[in-house]
Parts: sequence; C-alpha cells; structure tokens
Amino acid sequence: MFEGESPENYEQKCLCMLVLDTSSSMAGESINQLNRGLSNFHKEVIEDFVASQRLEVGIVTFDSNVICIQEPKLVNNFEMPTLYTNGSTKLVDGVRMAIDIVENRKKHYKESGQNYYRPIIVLITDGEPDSDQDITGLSKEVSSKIASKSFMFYSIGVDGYNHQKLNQICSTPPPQPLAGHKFYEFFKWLSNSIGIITKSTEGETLMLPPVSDWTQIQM
Amino acid sequence: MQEPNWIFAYASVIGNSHISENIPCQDTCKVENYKNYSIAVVCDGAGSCINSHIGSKQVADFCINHFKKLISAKKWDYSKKLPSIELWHKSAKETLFSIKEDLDNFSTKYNFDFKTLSCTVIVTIAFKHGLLVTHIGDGRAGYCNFKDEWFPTIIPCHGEEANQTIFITSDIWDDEIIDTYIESNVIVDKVKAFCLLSDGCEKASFECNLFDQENDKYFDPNKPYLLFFNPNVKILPQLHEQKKTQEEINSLWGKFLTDGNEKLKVEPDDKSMILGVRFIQEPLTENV
Repeated sequence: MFEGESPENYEQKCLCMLVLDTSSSMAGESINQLNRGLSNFHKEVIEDFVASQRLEVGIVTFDSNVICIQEPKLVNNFEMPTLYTNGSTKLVDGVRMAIDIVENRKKHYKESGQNYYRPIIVLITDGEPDSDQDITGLSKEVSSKIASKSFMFYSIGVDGYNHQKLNQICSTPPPQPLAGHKFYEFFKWLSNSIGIITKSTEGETLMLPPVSDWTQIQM
Repeated sequence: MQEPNWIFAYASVIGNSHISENIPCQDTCKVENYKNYSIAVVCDGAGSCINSHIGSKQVADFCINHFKKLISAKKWDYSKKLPSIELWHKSAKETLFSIKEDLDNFSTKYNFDFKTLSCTVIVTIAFKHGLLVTHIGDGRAGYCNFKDEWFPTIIPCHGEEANQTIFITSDIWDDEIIDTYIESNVIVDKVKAFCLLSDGCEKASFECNLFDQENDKYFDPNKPYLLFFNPNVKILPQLHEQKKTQEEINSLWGKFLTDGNEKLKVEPDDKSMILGVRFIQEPLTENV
C-alpha cells in the first residue's frame, strides 16, 4: 500500500469583517438573536477544519462610537464577544473603519508573504446612518473598491432598516432584508458560504447557498 | 515484449467540497508509454467553470497526441541528448498553442462556451536521459535523482489572490506576454523518479507555505517533500514486481490520494498526481 507523510504547510487566509449595528434600536430581541447567531457562527467555523485554518474574523461595532472589538484573527484564537447596545448609528464611520482594517490586513498578508482570498465585509444594521454621516462618499468608495476587487460587500437589513439608504451604499449585490430575527440562519448561511469561498479554486463565479432560509425575498 | 523505461501510479480523485456541492471531478491525468519515452499529463479544470471537467479531459488527450507527434517529428525519441531549453520552449509553446486551437474547435463543434472549458496543464516527457517539462497554471512538478535529491521542475503561477491562476483558455497568447505564462524546462540528470500534480495535492506533498521565523515571513520553497515521495518511490516498483496491473496500481494510488494521510483526507479540492519511477531491472550505469 502507498504511504507518505505531509509537510506542515500553513493555509492561505480569508478575512471576514463583520460591521455590526449596536445602536439603541437594536436592544432586546435583535441584539439577543445577533449574539446567538455570532456564537453559533464561531462554533460552526471551528468545526469546519479547513475553514478554521483559513478564516480570520474581525468585528467592528458602531453606535455613538465606532470600535474594533475584535482585530482579525483565526476563529480558534478568540472567544466571540457579547454585544451590548447604546446610542446612535455611526454606520458610515463603522464601514470606513472596516475598509481600513481590510486594506491594512491585505498589506500585512502581502508583506508577510501570505496567500489570501478576496476579503468579505458584512454590514448588519436595523436603522439608517446618523444625519451627519457621509453616505455619498462611502457609496463611491465601496463601489470603487468592489470594482477593483478589493473586497466583497454584503449588507443585511434588520426589521425597520432604511432600504433606500443601504442600497445607496451598495446596490450590487443589493441589501438583503433579514426575515424576523433570523440571525442564527443568516450566520449559518455565512459559515457555509465562507466554507465554499475558502475552498474555491477561482474566485470569479461562486455558487453560494440559497438565502431563502433567512431573507424575506430571493436575490 | 519490451518493458517500459518508466512505471507509473496515477489517479484523479474528487475533492470533498466537490462531493458536497455535487460538482464532478474537474481534474484529468493521463500517461502513455512509448518505445523510448513516456508522456505524463495533469490538467486541473477551473473550479468556477461549468464544463472544465470536459476541458481538462480534452486537453489531456490533445497533449498526448500533439506531443507524441512533436517528438516523432523532431526524432527526439532516438536522439542521445535532449533538445536545448530554447528549442524545447519554442516547440512546447507552439504545441500548446495548437492544443488551445483544437480546444477552440472542439468548443465550436459541440457548442460550448470556450472559457467554460478552462483548465491548467502540466506535461512531463520522460526519457532515459532526462525530462522535458512544460506547463500553464498553478500545478506543481518535481523530480528525484539517484542521490535521492528532490527538485522542483516548474514554478506555479499564482495571481494576487489565493485562488487565482491562468488557464490554457486565458488571454495569454500574445507574443509579447506568452513567455510570462508558459514555463518550460529541460532536466538533464539521472532521474530516478518524477511527479506532477494539481494544486489539490500540493499541501500534502510539497513544502509550499512555510514560516521563516528569522525573517518573520511566509515563503514557498516549492520543494517536493521527501517523506511523502520516498516511501512511494520504493513501493511502486514492488507493486510492479508483484505483477499488479496498471489499473490495480492506480486504484491503490487513488485510495492513497483520497485519504492516505490527514492532509489528503481533509483537502477540499480535487486531487491529481502522477508518480513515475525509473524501471531499473537492468543495472544502471554512469552512462545512462
């Protein structure tokens, strides 16, 4: 019988930045279900051996403040934090911070000689940005970065979100409304999708799982 | 009947992610033995292309036919030395272009979008006195000499992102850029064994993403891993001596590539590998 040992190669990295709304309107069932979804996402990625070696997760929260509560790390290397709500909705600042983190992380990957997949930014919000937030400027930046294949961008609207404003930030792909509080189902879809992305051989056309389990309308 | 100069184990096995997504195995590998040489081909169909399993099979078939014709036309099968690197690269480039044209004709005849047939390709032609190697894409290949030293024979072509490479169907066929994308090498050495593989096998069999603590950097040594290959270089001749058929050997090889060790077992991508070992029933002399 054939036999042979394998070398200890490191895996290529896939960065997923979660940009999460923790403003006051998310209080109650929304934040509880979001925390439950995050916890399950963490567990499912750890259980997928290949994804757990490749996926780095970072988390930015935005309310009256914008904070990176989790720098990008492999899921095995951090505990999923519990989120609490407070204040208004500095959504644009939150997305901008995530974009900066993505750019810095890509620079780090390049400088340290690591192979990487195209990063993913996932925005989740139930409202609309504060009135002083520069939606037009962010929209241009996101469109330009998607066109130059800097990252993939998905926006998810929780009950009561402003579809028009979210669509203004990124219309391709369009924002997806979350049915009820189906964060658990959304993060299950995300972990399955990341499983596919981190195992793809070419990143242009990805057959991601159907979104019907967690959204109100089909893409 | 004359024994071949080389004996082989070769197989393509479906990856775990392709099983779960109900996608066919998109890799193809093929070996043909001739009087004084053997041709080995590995093609890896592009993951995102719906007909790439058909493309990889066609390209492998075309490679065998075209490179056989090339060797006959140049009489390299009766030559005592291998062609120069310049001549081989020029010939390999022209041959791969003809293969691309054949694939284009095939796509027209059977109404396939040409780009949906995308695949990478590696060709190794093994003679008594060395190897001719050429490739397009992100596969890997290597050889071992009689001092048991392993070396790579090609460098994989990667894009900025981890899952990007180029294919025989890519827009590379311009005289000014083509040499960036087709690599050809002539190995003049006493070759004991050689390998060629799709990227699904690279983490299990090549040192390809190690960490250099001194410089705080990851790097790709592109080196065939001795502990992977050496046991199999010993086992393959034993199976041949046990009169196992090629199908039986390939079946054992396929089983090994599927779950022969932990790395192979968890690999999500399709896996193809050809291992060729010099048949040494006759005593090997310094003149070989």
